[in-house]
Amino acid sequence: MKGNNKVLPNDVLAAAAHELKAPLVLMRHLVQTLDEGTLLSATERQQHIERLAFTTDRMLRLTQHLTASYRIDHDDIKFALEPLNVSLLCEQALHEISPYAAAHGQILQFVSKKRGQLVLAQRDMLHDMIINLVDNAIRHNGGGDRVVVDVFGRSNYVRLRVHDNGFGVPPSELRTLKQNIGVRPQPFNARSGTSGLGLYIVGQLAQAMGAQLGVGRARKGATFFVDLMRSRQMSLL
Amino acid sequence: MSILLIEDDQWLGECYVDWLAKAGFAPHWVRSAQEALDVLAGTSFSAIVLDLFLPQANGVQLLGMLASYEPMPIIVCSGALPPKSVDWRAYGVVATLDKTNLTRPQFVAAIKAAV
Repeated sequence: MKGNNKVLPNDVLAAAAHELKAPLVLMRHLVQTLDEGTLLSATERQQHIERLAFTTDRMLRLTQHLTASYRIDHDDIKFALEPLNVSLLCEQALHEISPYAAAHGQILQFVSKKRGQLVLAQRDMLHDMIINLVDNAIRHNGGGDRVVVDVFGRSNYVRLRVHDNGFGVPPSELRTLKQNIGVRPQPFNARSGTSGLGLYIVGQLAQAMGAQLGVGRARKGATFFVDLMRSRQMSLL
Repeated sequence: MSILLIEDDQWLGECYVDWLAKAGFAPHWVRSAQEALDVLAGTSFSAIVLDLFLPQANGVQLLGMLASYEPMPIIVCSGALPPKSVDWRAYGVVATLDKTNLTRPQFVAAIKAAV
């Protein structure tokens, strides 16, 4: 699959610049406000420092994922897929990102009817994929307060779904998003000021593991999913 | 004086609300074009501060829709302003602010000048 979905480097570069600009602007504003000092209460000061820390962590995470995405696309890296408990990895990732969600006033919820679903994946990539999808949902959940992750099995694959209850994707833009999702960053006006870089990274990671990223319909909010290869290991035991 | 702030980013929105409140304005913050239109159906404001990248209808589309509302000074505040060839005045825009270089005093000064 490598090389089939080559994206003009400028598209990704422009998307990365756009995606990094918003947190940098926020950090600049927070630093300025902290620098003025006297305008802030102790609680506000603490909140500003926490937001600076969260934003810095998020930017570092994004740059790490961008590097990983670049290496997948350009380097001849060999990695082994292994049977992984996707429910367990979801719970770990949600636990990791829950302070960031709480700081945005968002509740994270995990639903899995059958625990212990095994998928064939690479641990770090699957982890990064979950974090990116949840981060995407948290940041674009204007008007919503909840992000739900669920996992359910089908005959040949296991679907990991991330759903928010915010504004969602306008129907007029859903088709373009479906065509471009994970293949190239989307037009800047497609969704809440996002370049779609996070989804592009998820798409790269998914493709490298033989998984498929998609966008679903939702009555309210937006739903993104990844279909992962089901591991047959359990049936052999 | 009440200011309608249209900004989809939660933490940036809270930051601007704080700046406005501490400058003595009464900010009303919404996060989408549709919410802005809903609020404007029943309330008028001394000025509107508008981000351009918004969910659903974007800021430029919203500017077109605002033409049918009571005229209010509009300040566009964005991290990615379109080319300078755009005739903002035709949309009722009295000032454009580039978020990437923006300081609190500049932000407050632009709104004071607008109202």
